[in-house]
Amino acid sequence: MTNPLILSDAQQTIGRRWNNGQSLEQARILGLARDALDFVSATGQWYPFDDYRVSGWHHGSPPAADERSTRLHEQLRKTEAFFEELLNDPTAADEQPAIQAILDALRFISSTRQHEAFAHFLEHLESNAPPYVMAAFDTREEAEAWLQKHPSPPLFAEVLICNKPHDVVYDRETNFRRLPWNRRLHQYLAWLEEFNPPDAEASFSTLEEAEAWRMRQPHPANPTWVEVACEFYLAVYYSNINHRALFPMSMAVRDSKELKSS
Amino acid sequence: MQVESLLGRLTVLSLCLLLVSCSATQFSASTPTSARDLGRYVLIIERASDGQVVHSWRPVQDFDLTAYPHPVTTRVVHERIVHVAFNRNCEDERDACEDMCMASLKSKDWSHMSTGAKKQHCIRACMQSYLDCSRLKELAQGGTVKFHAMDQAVDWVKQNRESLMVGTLVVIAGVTFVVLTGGSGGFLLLAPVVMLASYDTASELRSLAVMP
Repeated sequence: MTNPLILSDAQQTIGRRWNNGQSLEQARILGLARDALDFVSATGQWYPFDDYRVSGWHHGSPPAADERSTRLHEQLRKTEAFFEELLNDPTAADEQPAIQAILDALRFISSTRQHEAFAHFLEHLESNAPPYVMAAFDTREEAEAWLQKHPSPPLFAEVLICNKPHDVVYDRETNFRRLPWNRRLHQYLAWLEEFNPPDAEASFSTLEEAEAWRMRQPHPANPTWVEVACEFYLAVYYSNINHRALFPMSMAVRDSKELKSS
Repeated sequence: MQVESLLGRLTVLSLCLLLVSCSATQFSASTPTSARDLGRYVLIIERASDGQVVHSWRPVQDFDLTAYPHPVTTRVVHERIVHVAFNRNCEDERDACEDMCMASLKSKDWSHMSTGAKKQHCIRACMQSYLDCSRLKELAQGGTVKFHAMDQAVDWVKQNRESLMVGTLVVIAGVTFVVLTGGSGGFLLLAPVVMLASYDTASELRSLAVMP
């Protein structure tokens, strides 16, 4: 198996070419490559991606379904062309494995026809939403049963258990499976508190009332602050799994300097 | 019999095998070629004179094990394994690792990335140490580490040689090995449990004589 840190090497290759004075087109291309690598990892597709890299499995792109996917197709094509050229650039010879990983990520998304899922992911990133999750469970038992039965658990993805964030850990060689907790949602809430201070869009007496209001929202894409019994909650909708969550502000941890500075 | 005498026996055996490993040049080089062969070999991990950690497989028949007349069952060996308390918290260690990782991403190479994407990098970067910690935890709690491939098992044992405790079980391609020496000195010896099953505590020390 390839070391998953090849994705990190690839991100650094993009970072070295990123600068504040770059053209909008350059920013779009580099940004899409960055997000494609992030998509592969955050959606738990490391193993399928690695298998794809080994087997060279190709299906070809499907026809564009609507205007949004036409734009995404076009953008993916331009990004691929940019990195194909870079792959043959002698000055980037020592970065070839990383550049190849970027190309593979772009082609993986196209070949596996994940344009729509990728477009959802990009929207999620743009809305400054909380960490992406691939599943949500009401109980720990339910989550453990899902993990044990899963034919190939989504390594590096996050799931919610009782609306608390957990990582999927899966080692295919040894079939090791775990769902350890993480603090990323807590850190995110602390960051959001500064970036977008709580200003409740609606107030409720009970969580049930807030849930009912949330269910009635027509386009619940962006995270929204609501107030329930004098406490702020962040209302979030995960469109990829059709899950609505209310995260209490009290979950926030405020000791994470690196998050506040980024 | 019990645990004490068994441990004493294992210690003597370990010392003996240590002697064997120190005179490695006396043995012809050999390696198990299939999973079926594994039960007939002892695995030795040690630090070479150039500082590198190396491993070698030694055939069981290089040791005079036939002098142990009273076999014990594998089950009894299992029952006698002593585990040391494991007081690490793998989740906390992972959390701290990711915090350190995030704090280290200040260079220009990472400036294009969102906090979420940086976190993804840190999850990847801290995954191996979390896996290692979790496996050791399972061992300490009476579990067993299992490997399907020999090379992978050897690499893992090398990486974790400092932490492996006497009595730890490692299953390599279906064959159960037990750690016979502590890892703190960097020298580690694993023998197939089935081999130990042919020993008995009543055996005389002379039985441990090593065949050249």
